[in-house]
Amino acid sequence: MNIILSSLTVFVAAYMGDLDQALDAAPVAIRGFLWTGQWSNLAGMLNLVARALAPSEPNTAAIIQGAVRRLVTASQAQSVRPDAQPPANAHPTSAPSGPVVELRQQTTAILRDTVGDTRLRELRTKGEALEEEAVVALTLDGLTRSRPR
Amino acid sequence: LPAENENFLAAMAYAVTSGDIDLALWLLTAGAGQVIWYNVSLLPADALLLEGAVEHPLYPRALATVALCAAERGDAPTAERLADGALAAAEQLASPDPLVEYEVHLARARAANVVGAIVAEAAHFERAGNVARSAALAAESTFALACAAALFAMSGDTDRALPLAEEALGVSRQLRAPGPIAWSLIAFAAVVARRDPEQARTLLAEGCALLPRRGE
Repeated sequence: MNIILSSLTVFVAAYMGDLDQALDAAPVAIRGFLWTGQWSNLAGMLNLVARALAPSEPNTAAIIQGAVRRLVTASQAQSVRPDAQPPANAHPTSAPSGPVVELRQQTTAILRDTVGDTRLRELRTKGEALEEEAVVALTLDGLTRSRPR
Repeated sequence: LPAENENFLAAMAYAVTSGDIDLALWLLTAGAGQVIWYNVSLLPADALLLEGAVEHPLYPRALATVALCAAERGDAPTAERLADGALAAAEQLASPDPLVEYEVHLARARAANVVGAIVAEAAHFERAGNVARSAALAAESTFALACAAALFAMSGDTDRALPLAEEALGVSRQLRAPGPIAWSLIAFAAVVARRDPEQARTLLAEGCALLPRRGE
């Protein structure tokens, strides 16, 4: 429960623009999702953290964006039986224009301005090659640097 | 907690070894015990294979519990198979057990989460909440509706999320339980974050204040 609540706190704080609170709540959620192998949740969390880190840690944020791409692919490689979804008159099963996507687009805009398109692609490629443990370690390091005690 | 964990596992081992089907299925389906079953290395399915298990009134709920465990491990196909089995078994019960359908929807929600199908996950939580509400399972309905509200909000569908968040918060306040209240407040904050950031900030602060701090 605390992992989910922490992740929800990160979501709300990031969406409101309270990046300090988002970064404060993020480590519990990130470690929890790593330890429990919840890759799609970890990907969502990393997207939010990348947004919070983008102004102060653009290189780290760009690497995280690349890693998220890999995580999303990994979670979609697992299968859910098609008829396990709600009926067709419910809602689509993905949210291509939801708030997390909106925040990712904000991150991309910040990174394009700060590191440029070419460097952004390089850093994303680097992130895409990272294992889950490595990207979490890199993210937590970035969080520590951005929030000196 | 580690001692309780050991006691729980020992009790289950005793129940399975001695063929005590009542005890084994009770341990498997006891609400507080499920946290333990989520965290053991193998699916806790031995109890389902005991003689007389299939005819036992707790069998459908036990199948649903193991389905939820499978979903929590990311094994969506097994979760679905067990969930289908739980619903089929529940049809044979002399008196309905609403927790079966509730847990089946939770299992399906968690299975949807594995692939990042956030709207499907939210819809299954909403169904679980509806089942719990109909059965007057207040704590369960609060949890499921708050989950649904938060997930719909994350997917951008705040219109669908808002009434669920309002209901979850109302019921959790009636329960006077800090955990569910905190959960509902933070879910509510997620719903109003875009249209009313100040209210979201207040709700988030109130919810976080109810959570135990590290070290407490």
